Amino acid sequence: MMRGGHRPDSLLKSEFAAVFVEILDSGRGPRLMIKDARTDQAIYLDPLELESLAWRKHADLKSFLDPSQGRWSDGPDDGLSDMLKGVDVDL
Amino acid sequence: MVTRPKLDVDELVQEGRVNGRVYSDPAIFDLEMEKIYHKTWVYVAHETELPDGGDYKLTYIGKHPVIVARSSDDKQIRVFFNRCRHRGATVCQMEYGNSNYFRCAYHGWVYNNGGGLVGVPFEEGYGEDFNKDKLGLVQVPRVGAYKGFVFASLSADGPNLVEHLGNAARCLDFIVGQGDMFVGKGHHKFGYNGNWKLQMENTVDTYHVQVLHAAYFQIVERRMGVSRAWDASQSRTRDLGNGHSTLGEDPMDLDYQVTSAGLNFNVGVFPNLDMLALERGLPTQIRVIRPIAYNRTEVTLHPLLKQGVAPEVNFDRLRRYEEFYGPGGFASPDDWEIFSRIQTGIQADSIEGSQWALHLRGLQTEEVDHERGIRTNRGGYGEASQRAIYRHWKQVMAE
Repeated sequence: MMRGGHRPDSLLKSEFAAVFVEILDSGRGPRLMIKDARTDQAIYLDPLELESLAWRKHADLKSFLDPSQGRWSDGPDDGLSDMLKGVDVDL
Repeated sequence: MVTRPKLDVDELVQEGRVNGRVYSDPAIFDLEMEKIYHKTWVYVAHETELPDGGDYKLTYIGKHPVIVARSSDDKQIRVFFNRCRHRGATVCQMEYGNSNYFRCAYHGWVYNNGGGLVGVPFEEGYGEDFNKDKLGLVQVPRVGAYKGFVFASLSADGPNLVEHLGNAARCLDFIVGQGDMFVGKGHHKFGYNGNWKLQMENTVDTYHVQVLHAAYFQIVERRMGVSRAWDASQSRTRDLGNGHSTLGEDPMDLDYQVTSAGLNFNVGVFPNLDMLALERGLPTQIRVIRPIAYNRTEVTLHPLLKQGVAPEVNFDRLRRYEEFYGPGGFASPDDWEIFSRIQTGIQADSIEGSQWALHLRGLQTEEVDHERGIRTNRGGYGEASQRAIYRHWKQVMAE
């Protein structure tokens, strides 16, 4: 059964996060889509970007995981709208 | 630090008998957490439970909820308090998972699985003196592994793990010597309304087996035409020192070689690990004891499976395991019922002489090996293994 337009086996879920991961071929080359299942926020990564990730250590992702460096930083938009987006998504 | 009145351990534990208060007094339970669980080495995991980088499991060291995590980058296993440094909520909730970072659900503080605080939402709201380096998950000071068995200690000082295991290390050698084993993904838990030491006593108790579990032996004989009756005359019960004990055939006899497979024995590693190594009878298993209150205990059972064998072999091991130990098994539920009965019965203590629980069998015939610090009852049914627990208990509770 499709869930929100995604195959069920494309959902990766832990107790902390839930993302859809799919390979897209809509463009001129393949990309990996990672979509936050709770907010629909998505990123599309090409093979070169993915290769660069393969050469990183998990510790190098630290800044991505710091909520104040992106998703939940002080500013005009305090991030609450982001947090509330998609709260009715039933996982 | 809370200062408690010193316990009169001589009133509570004497050779061959213990006062029922060791099971029924909430103040003694609190002191046990402080003197035992929050000082000594406590079993937290088997390495095969966390095979991949990012794997983690949740367990307890005494009253402390902890995260046991394997780093993806350096593959080390570390143990942290499962307590957000912000407001104290548990950061992880799932018993097992895989994540290189943990995010507290309350305000979104994020930690890496090395324990470091990576970031908090809206950090600008904190002052300049907000130091993330000092707000990582609190790391348990000592983590050690012995042949795949991982222990942790809340105390930075004290005997090292090998010193703590003492003679029990040889038992673990034998279990490992039976072949490569791993903890599968399945396990089950049971809770009982009784003190944690009742499970420790029971795992190394030969005396009850043919009596309490008589129905199991009868059913197997009638329905399957095989006898599982156990001739205890050739077995031993032993006080290995440091609160550790064994029953069954005897890995402590020096003529057994570590490589010889298939000894029937159980070992209790004080204070929270029981290993059942009945390779020729029932499959090996790990039991982990979690004391919750003086009258409430939870036990997790992990069957050990063999690596590199046909799936049918492990299938058979699991069926045999379920037959005796499973939630619907023919024997373990007997034990849980008895633990609750003891917790109820032990309250009848107000008339002088009624307060004792007895561990007298074989007291007069114990063989003492001073060199190795081992006391042995030969011929089965001796209670040297129960006395082992309380001799050590008395010593550490008096400190």
